[in-house]
Amino acid sequence: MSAAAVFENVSKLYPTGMLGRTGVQAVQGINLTIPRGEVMALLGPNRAGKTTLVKMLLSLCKPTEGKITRLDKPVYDHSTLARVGYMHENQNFPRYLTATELLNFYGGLTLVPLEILRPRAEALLKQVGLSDRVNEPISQFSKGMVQRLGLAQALINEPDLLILDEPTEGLDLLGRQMLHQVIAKQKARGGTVLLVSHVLSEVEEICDRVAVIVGGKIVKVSPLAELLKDKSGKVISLEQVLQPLYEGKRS
Amino acid sequence: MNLPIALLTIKWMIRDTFRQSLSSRLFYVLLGISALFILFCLSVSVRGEDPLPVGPGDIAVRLPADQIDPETAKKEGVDVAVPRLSIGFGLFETDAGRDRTDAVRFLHIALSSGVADTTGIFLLLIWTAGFLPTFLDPNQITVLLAKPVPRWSLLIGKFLGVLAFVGMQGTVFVVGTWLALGLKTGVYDPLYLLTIPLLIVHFGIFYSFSTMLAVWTRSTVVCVFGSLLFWLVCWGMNFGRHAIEVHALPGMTPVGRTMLEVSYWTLPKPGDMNLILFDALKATGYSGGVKEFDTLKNEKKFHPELSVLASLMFAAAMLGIAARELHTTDY
Repeated sequence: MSAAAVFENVSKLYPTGMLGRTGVQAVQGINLTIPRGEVMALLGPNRAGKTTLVKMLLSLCKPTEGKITRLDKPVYDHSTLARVGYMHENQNFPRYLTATELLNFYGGLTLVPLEILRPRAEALLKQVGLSDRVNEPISQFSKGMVQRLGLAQALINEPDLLILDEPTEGLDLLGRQMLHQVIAKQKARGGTVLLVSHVLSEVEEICDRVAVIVGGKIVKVSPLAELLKDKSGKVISLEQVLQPLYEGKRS
Repeated sequence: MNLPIALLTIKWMIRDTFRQSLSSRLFYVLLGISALFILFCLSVSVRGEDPLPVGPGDIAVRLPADQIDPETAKKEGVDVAVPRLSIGFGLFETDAGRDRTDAVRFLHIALSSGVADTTGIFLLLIWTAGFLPTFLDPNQITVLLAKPVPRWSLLIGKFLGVLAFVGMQGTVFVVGTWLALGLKTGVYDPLYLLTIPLLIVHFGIFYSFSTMLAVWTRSTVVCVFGSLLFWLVCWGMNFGRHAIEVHALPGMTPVGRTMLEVSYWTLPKPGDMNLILFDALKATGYSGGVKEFDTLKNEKKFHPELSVLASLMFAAAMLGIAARELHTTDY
């Protein structure tokens, strides 16, 4: 199975204190493969290490141990970031930019050629429902609109790997439906999605595979369909699966 | 390192910085200040310098007012040039010196050294100090750091963007006042235009320190007070070194002397920059310089090229440290 990303025995220790002699172990011994063309959810309680994993995958921080491969190349090779889209959990875009300026700016830095960038930005703004606000500064946008813009920004390079960190935060019903369509479209064109979310109904609806991280360690990786069945084959909810895992009991 | 990608990033960051300045209204505030000074220059006029009789062979026979007592000269039948400099559309008048060129040169020096190079840099360091900490806020820069561009190019692009912004504003100020004074007096002294590159270099040297602080602390307050304090310390060190060089401080040990020299050659030298500007404008005789600096210069102990080079090396080192820190920081 071809992989969009592979974590091999990855650990991350954040140094603390003046001399950095002590530290916080964010994740430890992570082995995880994100298959190409799938929608994988990364689930876990608060402070489980989900964001650290995402950050390491995006080269925002370096692993203390282990090896990470992104789109078949080591994670320190930044060239593959041109094929990655990332939607941050707390979007704080420069408030002086308009929606169009933002997409042109971020798209330019993702190395999308200008002649492609402009029509694509226009199409994306239409897709996320912001075509009537293209020339308004972001300072006038609501949280939901900023989220929509964040999604458009993540799609500006038509990524092979799309990483969505809490994407539905602040989105209304129509916004969520739009997001689901975007994810389905990404999957249909052979792209991969890594979704970090606490909204379990959403995960149940759109994901193929689930990885659960608790206390910095992966405690479960499974196709969703298998996960939602108990030993007797009876269908259970994701909440019922996660409850004991979050409480520290491995199934 | 992929240079075309880095250059492209720098281009995008410069453009972004201009947008940031527009949004903070700093762009218009600085243009407004320049407009006020241009208006001030338009209010200037020099009168009383009418063409005087020309002697045999078209040799000018006028005498400058400061070299002869006008009353005595008149009694002797000599015409005396007594130009008057009027400021504020006639609200204030003073002697214009030797002639209108003198008067304009004096104003150029005041605008260049007093307004642009000292007050201007001080205010610009304060007003632009927030640009980088805002940009480096983790919630804002994280998405940019996840782009396939070198981190250093984002930082250098932002630094150059601020420099380009300051250069643009400095150009508006200097060229605007130069044209306004020229329009009113007919004197267009190109030496005044040298203020623009010197201002950019001077500002850039100190903004590199502010950049380093921004990467380390991400705090606007630290950047404002840190860079101003640093500027004052550098001024003190610069003046102190030259004063000791001239006056030979008693009790100064060789170790102390060495430390002073190391500090002088390591840190930026705002006093030297001011002196270089004075020299570029040929300001000697129009404005009183610092005695110690003048003495040093007369004794041929002042090396402007080395001084600027050392300051530029300091700026490069600061940017290098900042870029390295950004490169290794976990976000």
